[in-house]
Amino acid sequence: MGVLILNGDHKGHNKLTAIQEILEDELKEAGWDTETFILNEYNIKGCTGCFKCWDTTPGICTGIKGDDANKIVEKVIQNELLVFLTPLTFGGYSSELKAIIERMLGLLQPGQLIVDGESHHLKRYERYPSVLAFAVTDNLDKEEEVLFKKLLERHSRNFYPPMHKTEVFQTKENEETIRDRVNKCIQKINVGNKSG
Amino acid sequence: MTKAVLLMGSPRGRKSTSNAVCIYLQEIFEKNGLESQDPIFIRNHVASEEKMNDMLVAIDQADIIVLVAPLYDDTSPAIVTKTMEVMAKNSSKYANKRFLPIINSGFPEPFHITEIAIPIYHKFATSLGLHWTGSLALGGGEAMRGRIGKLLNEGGGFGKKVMKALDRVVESFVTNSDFGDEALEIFSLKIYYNRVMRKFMIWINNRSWKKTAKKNGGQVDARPYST
Repeated sequence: MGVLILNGDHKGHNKLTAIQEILEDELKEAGWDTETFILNEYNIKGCTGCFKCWDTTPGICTGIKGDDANKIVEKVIQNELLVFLTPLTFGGYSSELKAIIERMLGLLQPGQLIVDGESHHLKRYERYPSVLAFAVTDNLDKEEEVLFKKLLERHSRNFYPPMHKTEVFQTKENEETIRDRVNKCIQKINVGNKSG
Repeated sequence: MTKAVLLMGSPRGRKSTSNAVCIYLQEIFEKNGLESQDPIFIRNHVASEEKMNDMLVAIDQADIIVLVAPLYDDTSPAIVTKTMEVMAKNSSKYANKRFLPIINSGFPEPFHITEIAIPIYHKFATSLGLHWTGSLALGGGEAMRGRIGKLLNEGGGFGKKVMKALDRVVESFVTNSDFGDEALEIFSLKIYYNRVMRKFMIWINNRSWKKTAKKNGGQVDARPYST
């Protein structure tokens, strides 16, 4: 089982390093093959909305040339688990993480279908990875925590993961507590993937 | 004179619904005695520190900040998020400026915008001490064909609906009152939720993507990354 970890930390910050390392340890322990991208070390531009990944080279972004996004996006769909790591940003993702998320548009198919009474894009692939989203913040703000959970819930309706789970951590949390919380998430995903 | 800054957050640039909205807003700002310059294209300012600073100066000098942007993956485009992050580093500068986001989505249901994107923008505004004067969610923005460069006055009944809402936004600025949070169905959901009509519209839409992909030599449902 493969897991792709996308670390959306800002350049020059190391807010997510500790949780990334704990996560890698615990995932390996649970039998996952991990691969991590610290996104700010790569050249990744946000989506320009040209829709070439839909109407010209379906499934592949050719609107933006020469950056590193496509090789990461390809790995997204080839893994069973996708992990987003982000500094909590007004309840949402950091710009670094958001840029690569936008470039996953080609993993979906254009057009619409109705799911639970709502319009959504079509699936391109039969199976999508489950998503774990971990946000880190200096000071826990309940409103932001709720927003982050809701964002993942909404985002998942458009991305079709078999399972999704969010956790918000504080930078001041000790290693043991983080490890314990990370482990519980991995267990839930493991159970979900086996039963799914 | 009250100064307004228009932040155009579409990564598409000129040919976008967001830009069509900005062009109309600039026109009615002038008619209503609000001082404003050409919309600032965020995408042109996030790449370099110097250009980012130019944008921050313009924001700093404004009394009213209007952000016009599309919905990308249920929230703000990365370039807009980047701007929000940079603004947050100098948050004391923006206290009490009036802020209003106008967000459009291709999906006809405005709740795709109001469920999470608007609350995130609200959180951003309150964190920086900006005065939240309201928001406008435009569901079904695709109907105005901004993507092919159409202006609002070329958008028929759909465009008129949006222009009326924008007139109300500007009126609230002129009268120094709050606009409130409004969600506009550019394409009536009453019609969209009619089962037959919806089926027909979805069929047309899906067929159109399929045809375009075929014309460009592709297969719309290709799976290039399948292993």
